[in-house]
Amino acid sequence: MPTQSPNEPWWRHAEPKAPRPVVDGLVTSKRRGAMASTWWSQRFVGVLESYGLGARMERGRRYARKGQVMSLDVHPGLLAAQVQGSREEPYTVTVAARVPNDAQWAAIEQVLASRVGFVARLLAGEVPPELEDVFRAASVELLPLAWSHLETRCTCPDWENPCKHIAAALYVFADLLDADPWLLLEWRGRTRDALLEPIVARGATAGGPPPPAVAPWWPFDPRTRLPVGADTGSTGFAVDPPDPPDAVLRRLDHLPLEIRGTPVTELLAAAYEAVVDAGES
Amino acid sequence: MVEAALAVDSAIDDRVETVAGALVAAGRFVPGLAVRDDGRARSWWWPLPAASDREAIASLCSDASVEAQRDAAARLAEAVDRRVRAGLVDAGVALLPRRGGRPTAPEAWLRSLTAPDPWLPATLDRDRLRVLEDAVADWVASGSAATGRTRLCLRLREPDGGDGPWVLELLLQDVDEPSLLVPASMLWAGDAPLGPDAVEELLRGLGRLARLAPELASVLDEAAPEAIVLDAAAVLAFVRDRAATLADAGIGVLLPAWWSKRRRLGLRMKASTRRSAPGGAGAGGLGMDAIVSFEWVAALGDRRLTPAELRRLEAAAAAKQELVRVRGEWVELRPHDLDVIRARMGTRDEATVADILTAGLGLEPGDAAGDVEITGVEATGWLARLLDDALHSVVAPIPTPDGFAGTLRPYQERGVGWLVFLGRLGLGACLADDMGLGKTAQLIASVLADPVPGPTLVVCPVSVLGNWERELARFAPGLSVLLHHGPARFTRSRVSFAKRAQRVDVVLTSYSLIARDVDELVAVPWSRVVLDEAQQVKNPATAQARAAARIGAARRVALTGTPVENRLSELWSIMHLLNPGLLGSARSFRERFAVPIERDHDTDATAALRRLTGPFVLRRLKTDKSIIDDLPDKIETTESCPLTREQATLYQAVVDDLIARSEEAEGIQRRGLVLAGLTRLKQVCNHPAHLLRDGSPLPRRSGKLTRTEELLEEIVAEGAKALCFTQFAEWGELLRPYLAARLGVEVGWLHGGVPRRRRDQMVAAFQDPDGPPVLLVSLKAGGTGLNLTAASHVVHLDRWWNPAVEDQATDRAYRIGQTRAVQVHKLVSIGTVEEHIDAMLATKRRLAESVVGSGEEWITELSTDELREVVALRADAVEE
Repeated sequence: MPTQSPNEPWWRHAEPKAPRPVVDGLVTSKRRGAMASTWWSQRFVGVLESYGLGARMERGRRYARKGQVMSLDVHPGLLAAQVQGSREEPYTVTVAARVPNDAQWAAIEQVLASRVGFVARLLAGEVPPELEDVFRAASVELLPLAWSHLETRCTCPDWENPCKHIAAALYVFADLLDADPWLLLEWRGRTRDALLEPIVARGATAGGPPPPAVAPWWPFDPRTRLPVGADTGSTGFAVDPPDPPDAVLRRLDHLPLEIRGTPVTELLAAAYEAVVDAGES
Repeated sequence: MVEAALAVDSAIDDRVETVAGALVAAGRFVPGLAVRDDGRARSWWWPLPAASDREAIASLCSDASVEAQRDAAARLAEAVDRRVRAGLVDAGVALLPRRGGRPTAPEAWLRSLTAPDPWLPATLDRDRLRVLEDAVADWVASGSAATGRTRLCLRLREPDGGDGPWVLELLLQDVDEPSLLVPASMLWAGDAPLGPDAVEELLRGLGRLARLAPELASVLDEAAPEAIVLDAAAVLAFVRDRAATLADAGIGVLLPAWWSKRRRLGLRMKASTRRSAPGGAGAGGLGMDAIVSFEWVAALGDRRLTPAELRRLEAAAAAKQELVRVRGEWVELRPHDLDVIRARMGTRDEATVADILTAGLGLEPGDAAGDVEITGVEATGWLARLLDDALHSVVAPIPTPDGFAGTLRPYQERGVGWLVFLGRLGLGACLADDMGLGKTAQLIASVLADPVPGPTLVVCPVSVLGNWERELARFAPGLSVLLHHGPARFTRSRVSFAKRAQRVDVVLTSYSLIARDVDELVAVPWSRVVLDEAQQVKNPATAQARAAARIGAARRVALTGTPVENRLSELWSIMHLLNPGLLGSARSFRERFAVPIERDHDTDATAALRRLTGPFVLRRLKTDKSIIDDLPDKIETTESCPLTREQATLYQAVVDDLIARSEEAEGIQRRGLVLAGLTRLKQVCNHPAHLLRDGSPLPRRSGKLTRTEELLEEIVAEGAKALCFTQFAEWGELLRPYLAARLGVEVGWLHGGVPRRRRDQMVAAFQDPDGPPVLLVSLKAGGTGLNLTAASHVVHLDRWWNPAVEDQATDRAYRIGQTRAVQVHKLVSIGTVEEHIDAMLATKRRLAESVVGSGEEWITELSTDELREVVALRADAVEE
């Protein structure tokens, strides 16, 4: 007879069934202790935990650590996760949030372009605290300020919300946010590339599909401008005979090509010896 | 208009050829493959420019359009392919062995790379070719400079005209080509010569900068930051507290070139030693522990501060300035330093010679002046000379001293002057001249030039004891010598060893004996201790090294051709015997020098060690310009080697047999007997196994072989080459594999049985700098026509008692075309027929040339008594 916690309702007398094991689930990077290590993901988890779920919270955390969340996709305004519970079919969790409208985004982007700090810090893996102010100025929120601002659903038969599956999905999202703060903005409707585009490609080179490559060995990306006219007088070469003669091959990745058991790169050595030595004499 | 365009075109053509030539010479080309739409494929040798070549490549494009880039790429590829292909066809290179049957696509590609026709056979499968084309293209693209990695880089710029602000420029740097720097302003404007991801990388770098150096984070408030303005205090904080952290975190930091060389405010030691060299007559000298009195003076780097400058610095300190310009240099000013300097300057203090040297040679002297740096030493007299980088060239050379039989060469006079100078100061000297420059002669001259009461102790390996005896007798016949050697060394006289030692000028002994007899040896008041082949005591844990450290003398000299054979700790060991305390304890030496130099290749530590040991190590190479003119073209030395006990026993048996039988024989029969006996004696001197032909093992059974190994090891370590002559083919046969294994190098063996063609190959291989460094030659092998000038050493393993034969052999190395001096080593077994006849030949050389003729027959004419005298074994022939 299992011991009964006084907090548990009567229909929970039975021991909760163990969830089915998952191969290649999204195991969180934190195995114990707090589930969020940065201020922004802590705020995220804080909103979840402020709800006071008690044991369900704890189970959700265990799910997240064990890898019961099989996938988590971030879409504008929506997180969608597959969470493996005790039934054969995994449950689908969705978390919807408000997305700024185009005018609001335009205002936000204008501020982001005025100071490199926002993008720079995001690229360095950090959410600048001032970013919240920028969103607030546009009358939207960056991080959810209250649980009620999130609209959560789960296909599991439990009627509590949030259930442990929702909790697990949100813990996993918080964990992902620690490593990649851009996901937060993606959830709010703008991808990393969309945000970077006006800043990274300010110059004339932006826009249009990339033109085809010139040649595999060509030392310029054809999208970029050449340093033409910089100094065309000198060839600017330091011609030291390479040592070993085939040193150039070390710059290249592995060439997965063999002829009767001998790597082609080894067979090529003789060519370099002949040409480089002849050049020296 | 058209003409102008054509002119531009041909100028570009010229440039394409120049660039192609440079790329090929630099080895920057890779194999490529291109498949046409119709399925025909051709191989290419494509250029693969490095990041540093990009500017030159860009100059080949008429404009920045993709079409112009394509055009330039096609021309350059064409030119590179033409050059590489022609080189390969000329050299007849084939990357694959010929094979019948239909080639696979990779085989066909590899074949066509070295063929005049770049097109692959039309029969190949189209799809396979396309797969191969993609694989090759991906592979080549992985090394393309277009995918270069970049990083944020900060460059500190000092104010242009004196007092303006300092600036940290923001740049993007190519990681693989750090000299490629692009200003941030250019990237904000849309130029991206470092690739499309450059701006993103710049932004990421700035984000990380803000995290690592929060005081610089305000730069992120701008829309397109180009630089960070710093005040003088912030500059110091940046350089002191941030630069290293940022560099470790992968952000480039470029400081002005003078920063690392900036001079510090500090104190200098001003010492005056009046005498030009102390202890001119006395025997004691000074030693590293001697105390020298000095005065503290305020200084900036190696220059004294004037009172006016000092006042200005004080005013700046009062105004809390931390970075001050003095004499046009930026100086870091710490108020505490200034207090210490003011308190110390003008006062007198004392320090040991070792401390003064470490300070004067630019090394930390400990905490002699509190926290303030000691920026150097000002000295006069002998101390000044000791601090000089090239001590041996500033001390007075000593001309050939009285009693020295011979004449010193100019570089030897400098060496003797240096030995005597350090000796009189009580400081140890390590003479590490190349083999053949006369280390022994210089040492003997220094003994004569600096006579002091008490005998000189010479410690050397047993194998060169005989050499020392001969050299002493030859150069300084007036010096009395005691050989402390052999089992009867204590018992053969009733006078105590200490007394006997004090009656002579020089005592000779071996390393194995100093360990055994150390108690008797320390009882003698030596004036001088000489450690020959000092690498023998490179391990301080050995009994020999410990004994050498116990035997005291004011004058200490180490002779070695190789002060450091393997590890720097060997240098510490030798220096510890010569100048205890100079290099600190073994542990501190390891931490401060050995590990940084050997593991980290720290050039500063290397320079510091060189400065510190510089005055005490004199090493000159035969190739030095300053001495090459002093050298004769041919240096002959006789290497005297002891016999082992086994050799001596065999030798005696052969002698007894020879004498007994020659008494009974006559005429031709007697001659035959004598010649055969002599041959057998020579074989014994070479090695017991040579006489016995029993295939027994070689190591440690022949004094001559031991010496040969030592000699050849030294020659090989020098990077030189040696010809070794023997008159016995069977001995060469035994030696070749043995020496090859012992020396770990290839050893050639040229003898009469080698066919003509093979012989030519061996000669060519030996003449090649990368070929075998040792060539054994049978003295009778083919005689003339051999040109072996790659050798700078000739070793005669056994003697042919005819100088003409030996000279002819020597001349194979010493021929027209030889640019180096040739050193000839004649190995002679001590106390044997070899030595007797060598002495006869040396004293009666002219006679020998006329009388002896071309063979050895003259010996057979000797009477039995004369013969007995020539072949008799002298008692001192045997080593311990």
